Amino acid sequence: MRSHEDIVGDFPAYALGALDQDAQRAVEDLVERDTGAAEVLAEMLDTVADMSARIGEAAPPVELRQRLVAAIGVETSVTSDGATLERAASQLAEDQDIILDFAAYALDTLDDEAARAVEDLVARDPKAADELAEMLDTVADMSARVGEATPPIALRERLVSAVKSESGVSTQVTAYSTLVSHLEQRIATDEIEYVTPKLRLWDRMRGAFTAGRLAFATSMASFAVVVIMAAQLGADNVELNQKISEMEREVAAAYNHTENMIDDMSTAEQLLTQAHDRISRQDEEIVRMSAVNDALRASMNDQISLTYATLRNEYTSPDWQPDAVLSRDGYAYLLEHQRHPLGALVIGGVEPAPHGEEYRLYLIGDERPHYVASFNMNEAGYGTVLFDLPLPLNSYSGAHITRELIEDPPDPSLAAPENRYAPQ
Amino acid sequence: MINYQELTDQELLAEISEKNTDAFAALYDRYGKRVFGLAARILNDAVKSEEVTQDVFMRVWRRGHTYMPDKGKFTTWLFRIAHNRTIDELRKLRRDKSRYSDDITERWDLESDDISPPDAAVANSEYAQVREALKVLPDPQRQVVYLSYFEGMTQTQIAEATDQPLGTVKTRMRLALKKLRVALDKEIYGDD
Repeated sequence: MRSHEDIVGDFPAYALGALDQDAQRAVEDLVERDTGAAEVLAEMLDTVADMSARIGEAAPPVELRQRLVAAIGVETSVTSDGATLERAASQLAEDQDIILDFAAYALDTLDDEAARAVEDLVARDPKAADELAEMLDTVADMSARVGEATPPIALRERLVSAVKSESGVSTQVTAYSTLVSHLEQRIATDEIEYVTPKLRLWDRMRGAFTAGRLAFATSMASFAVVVIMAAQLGADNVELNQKISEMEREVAAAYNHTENMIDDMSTAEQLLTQAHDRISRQDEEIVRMSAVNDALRASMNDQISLTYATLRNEYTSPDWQPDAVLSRDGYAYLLEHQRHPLGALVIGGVEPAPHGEEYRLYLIGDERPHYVASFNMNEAGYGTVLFDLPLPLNSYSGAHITRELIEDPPDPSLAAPENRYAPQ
Repeated sequence: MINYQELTDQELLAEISEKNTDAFAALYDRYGKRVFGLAARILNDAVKSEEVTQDVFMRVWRRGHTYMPDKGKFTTWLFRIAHNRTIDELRKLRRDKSRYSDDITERWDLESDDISPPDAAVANSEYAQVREALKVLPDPQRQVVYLSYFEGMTQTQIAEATDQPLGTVKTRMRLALKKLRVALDKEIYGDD
């Protein structure tokens, strides 16, 4: 058994073609096992080859040309000047150079021209193609095993959205559903733990719009997942930390959006409350007005002696003390001037009409309400109005007070039949 | 209902050629981490790695039909795209700042037996295999692999940087890859 050093000592002879067959085999076995030795030998071979290439040119035998032509499959006629042979020999040499570039091709460090030469060679030489394929596999294997790292979740969303966009599929909804599906899958496999967002936030969210809830919930869930992933993968994962910051900003934005919606809802609720209050006040006003109308009706029931009447819900006589009923919620006096065709209404205990509205007095005659006058109350709730009275007051069968918009013309229809006085 | 996770790479690619976005998502789920991991390890830049990963998969989406199974494995095609795109990005970055001053051995953690946390999470054994395979190479061969694969240097650049003849660089590179093939197979299938 020859030693390693002995065989390495034969390398120069091998390179120079000066070894017998057994020694050659020993060298070849060694370089198969020892890449370092192979490299040493390769350099020696390069040196000898370089030397050989520079020794000088001479016309080779014609039959060599024929063998080469056959070997490379070049269909050409043999010419006496050896030009075809030279081309073939040159082609072989070039191919060897190109094969040396396979590794660089596989590592993608060749320029375009050299890469094209490699591709041309493998296109016509299956054996070369196999060798290149093996090198490509080796590099790809290494690439595949260099290491995994979890890319940001948003990248998957972005990619799927992009391809869906290119496919013409709407992604606005599916992007969220994909994320949710992704999260559910990871939760199902215990890869991540579901974290319930703060109750306070969800309580606040409950009244918000659906879109706001979706955006907030999605952001919150994404945030929770990213936080958990960051914890799993280690604090040194800068990318994930960046992602967390990004998600925090998204959550904050969604939260602000939701806060704005809650404010809007609150404002709308206040407006509704105000409207409800106004309706309630109007109801009270209607009740109060109804009482006034009842009083007017009672007043009209005593037309003959109506020079001074105190009215509320009950009949009152002319000598009745008006102060006695002032404690009631409302009252009204209808007065008739004894010498001039004038009438007067004194009314109290009624709130001033809201801005843009006023009270209107109708007298019922011939079964129809006749507009008489408009008036309003002072801040204390008292009002007095003087009006033309072309007919004696007792010629009317009733009176009616309405509250209407100032800008609208008097509307007799507001004097509902049930409020009309029906003389007995 | 198709379970895309059970489809082979080529079946997924066939679906992708038909513009099936679910198949695309499944393929991303299968290889996204590896592509991103490759880019992240070479670029050491999360944002750029994300861009690279996005570009790689968009290329799969748009050019998946150009993959020819008879020319090689799908993973060879995919990771060649990924490595090419990563090296392109590396060259762009290099124009902005010199990366040559980095200590390659330190950066790729070749001497240490420790595995960084991201590796430990998913690729502890696999990256260790690559490291072991690289360690088997003689220094000059390992150097050309580092400089070309991880640094994107051309053979000529390597020859200049290492002050070696171009032919020697080519030979070393070729031998290195052949040796790596054997070493990686051993790491996968054992020594027997």
